[in-house]
Amino acid sequence: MAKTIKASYQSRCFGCEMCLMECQRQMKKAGLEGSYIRVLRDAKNGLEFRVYVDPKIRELNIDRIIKVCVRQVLEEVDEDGA
Amino acid sequence: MEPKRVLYINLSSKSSSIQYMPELVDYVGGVTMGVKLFALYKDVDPVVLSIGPLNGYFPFVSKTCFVAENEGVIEDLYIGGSLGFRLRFSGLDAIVLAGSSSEAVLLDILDGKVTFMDETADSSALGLPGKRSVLALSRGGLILDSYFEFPSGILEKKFIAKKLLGAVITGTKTFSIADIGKYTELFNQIMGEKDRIKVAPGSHPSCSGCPMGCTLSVNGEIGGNILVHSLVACGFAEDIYSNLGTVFACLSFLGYKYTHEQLETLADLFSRTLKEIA
Repeated sequence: MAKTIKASYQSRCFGCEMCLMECQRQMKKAGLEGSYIRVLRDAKNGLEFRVYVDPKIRELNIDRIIKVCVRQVLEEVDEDGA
Repeated sequence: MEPKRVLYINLSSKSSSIQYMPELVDYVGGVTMGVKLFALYKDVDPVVLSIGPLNGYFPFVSKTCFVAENEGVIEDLYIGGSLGFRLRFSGLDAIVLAGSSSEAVLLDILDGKVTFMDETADSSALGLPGKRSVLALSRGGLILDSYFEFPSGILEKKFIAKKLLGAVITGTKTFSIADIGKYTELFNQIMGEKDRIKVAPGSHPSCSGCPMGCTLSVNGEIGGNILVHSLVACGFAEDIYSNLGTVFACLSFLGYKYTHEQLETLADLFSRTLKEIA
């Protein structure tokens, strides 16, 4: 079963965007556009974040992306969600 | 080296333009470039926002420099959040806020293109989610990303005087990296020095490009090491980014051809520029 990433512990996210930088680095670029991970700050409450993972993230080195997150927001799951 | 790209916003005439300024290259970025821009535009009471060449690329280079005049003194202030990233990925090195608006205005800035919004605009509805930074007057203060505050009330006073309600800055540009192996090596080398950061890790909202989540990121900084704040790294990463070898390696990798002497004498250039304003 193919592996992917799930943002299982979103409440832990503090918005550092290190995961986004790692994704983009693996795609040999710097920037926010086109990243397979998006980190959205709650517009009214600067303390909360939502993390969105594009299914295409399976194309990248998942282990490196998970390890870069010091808050352990991300985990490796089977593509069917298990 | 490429000229610095400066977004000049004239609040009085509600106009803007991006200026390409090769004469600013020697100033590297951040506070040294910010003070030079202040000197160039001092007649229009500028507030200058500036980043350095490493913002958006290397860890702990997570701040934006603000230069403004307060009661006859030129102040340099630093704030974290996501602003440095958004400026970098707008393709800008600095923004100059010149003059004052005749009525309250909110700026919506997308990749350097400015739309002047009136006071009925909702800043939370502007820009692109995930790619924007919101600077707004609220709760009696000037707040970035609903959390990060500026030290002292200097910029709040400036914004109020300029009738500037805030700015939403969105950046969608990307930059390719040719030697990804070397970049990753440098990036990881700096991350390996995380223990030299002079603040304890925590669980508070963190600045983009910094995995510390410290309690102090909310406060911002005033003044500090000129090289570090020309880059614009976090003051707590001073031990890393005051190391000329590290800085030179990062700049060289990104294609900047500064000499060691230029970096060593940056503080002198800053002082000379400050004297131009006096």
